[in-house]
Amino acid sequence: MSDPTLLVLASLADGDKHGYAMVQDIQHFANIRLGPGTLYAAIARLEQRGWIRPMKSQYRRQPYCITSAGRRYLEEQLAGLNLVVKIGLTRLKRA
Amino acid sequence: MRRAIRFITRLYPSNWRDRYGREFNALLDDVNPSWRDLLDVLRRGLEMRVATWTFRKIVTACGIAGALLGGVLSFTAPDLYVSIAAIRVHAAQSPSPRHPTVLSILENAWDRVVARDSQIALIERNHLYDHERATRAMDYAIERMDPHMLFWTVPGKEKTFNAKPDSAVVAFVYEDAAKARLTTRDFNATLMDELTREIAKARSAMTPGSPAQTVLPKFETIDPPPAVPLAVELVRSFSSPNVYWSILKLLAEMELKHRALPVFFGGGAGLLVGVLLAALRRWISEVRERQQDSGNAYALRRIITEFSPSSWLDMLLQDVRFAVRSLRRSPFLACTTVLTLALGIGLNTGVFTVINAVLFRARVDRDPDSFVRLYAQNSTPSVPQGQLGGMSLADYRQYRAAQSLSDLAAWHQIEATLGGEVSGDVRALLVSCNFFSVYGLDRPKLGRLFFANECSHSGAGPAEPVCGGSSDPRPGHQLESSCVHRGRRGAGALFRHG
Repeated sequence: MSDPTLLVLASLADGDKHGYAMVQDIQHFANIRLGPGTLYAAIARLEQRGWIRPMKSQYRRQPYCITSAGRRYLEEQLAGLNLVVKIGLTRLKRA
Repeated sequence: MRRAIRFITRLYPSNWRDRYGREFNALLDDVNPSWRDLLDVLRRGLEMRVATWTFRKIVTACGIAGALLGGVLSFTAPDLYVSIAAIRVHAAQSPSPRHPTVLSILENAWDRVVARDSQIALIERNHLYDHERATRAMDYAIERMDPHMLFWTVPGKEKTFNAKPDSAVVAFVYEDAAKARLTTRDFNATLMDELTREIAKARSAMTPGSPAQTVLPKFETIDPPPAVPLAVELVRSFSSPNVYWSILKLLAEMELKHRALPVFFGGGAGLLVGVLLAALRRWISEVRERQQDSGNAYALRRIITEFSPSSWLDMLLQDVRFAVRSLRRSPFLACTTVLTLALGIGLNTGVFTVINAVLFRARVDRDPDSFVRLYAQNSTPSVPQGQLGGMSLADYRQYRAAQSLSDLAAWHQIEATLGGEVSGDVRALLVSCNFFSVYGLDRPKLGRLFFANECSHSGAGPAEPVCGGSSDPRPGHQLESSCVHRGRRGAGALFRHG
């Protein structure tokens, strides 16, 4: 799972976060360090698709939250990944 | 590093910078950016540019990049020639044992070709490295020869034998084109002899009549064509289908496959310029050689002086030195010259900026390159070829419903009568409800944009002023005088046409 959009959605599923918090969170749970360019390319794409939206902020750091459409999309993608993981593990055990 | 990354963010489209620039800079302040981050930002910036640039811009950018690459390769590559020959490996019957057999045979044979005795024989037969041999020991000539002898295998076309070498390629790089070709031919022949020996050895080690004998490969030599300058060969290697296939895969990975055509077109054209530069360099070298052969030919020397990059640089340096000396002699003239130049450049830039904004660039704030203006072409009996003009409301609705464009706005200029401080006729615009969103205006400098409930119904609704704080809700009524005077380019107030 190295798709930046999924990683960002998974990070925001835990609560609202700004860019730096997302980078730290993703590094913590997926051991992947997203570069600033990749992170903001993913944020722009997700915002354009309506899967995340910016929160009101008076500071330079801009927090984002996941929308219900984004949550649905994440659930679908994770369910697909989960199926692959389960089948793979079962086959490994059998082999 | 932060400064370098911030500089690179200029590569991103202006609307992206407006939207995310502030928070992106905040992120850069929080993290400790490295070279990988810089490359990451550069890659994403290029991606966005390729995604948003027009065909012409991509062609130009890739053309410049290709020409730079070709130019750098042409002018930095040493004056050497490369000659290439090959040995084709003929496929045997069963695929599985063939691959390791072929590889081991080729490797053993090549080891013998590059053995010391074999190299000495090649150097002596072809009179290579005469200068090195005259001044230093043979080992020095061998040391020079090692990096100039190249050998690699080219995979076959069949997918099942992807790792199987279909051809073994031999190349030799040398300062003399004829000797490079002779030596490559010699290399190839020596390699072929060694391969024949290896095959015979492998065959003798097998049991006579065993099926393993059928997997032994057969080899065929391909003679080297005339040697080409190393620069040309380097540039040519960038035009191989494999390179284009890799670029296509990269674009597909970035979801930008549809932009491949201008990238290839621009890059290919740029590389062609690079090849021409290499050819020019080769021509200059040949002219120089001819000059040396035929003694002192004034005309040839003149050509070399004109085309040689080092001469250009010398002349430029001479000019700069002369200019600095002249300026030091008369400081008043120097100050006047600098001020005049600064004023001239400043004025030129300012005038061009205004002309660009007013005439050349679409007068919209968001992504001007994607902005087009639609005209109706009205044919009449007197003007059968048609005349460009405005379109009807019905046409506008039809075009908008067709959805060929992401959005379509309409306007119509009218004369309106105003009361209040400014009375009399003024010019005004009737606009469709999406006019400002197409224009890319998020916040007006004066007044307000349309409210959502004002756009909810259609039909011949009342005209209503949108600039000025207190508009009169009654149809066709007076406008605020301030908005008439302060409207964009004095064109008058803006109206909503329901």
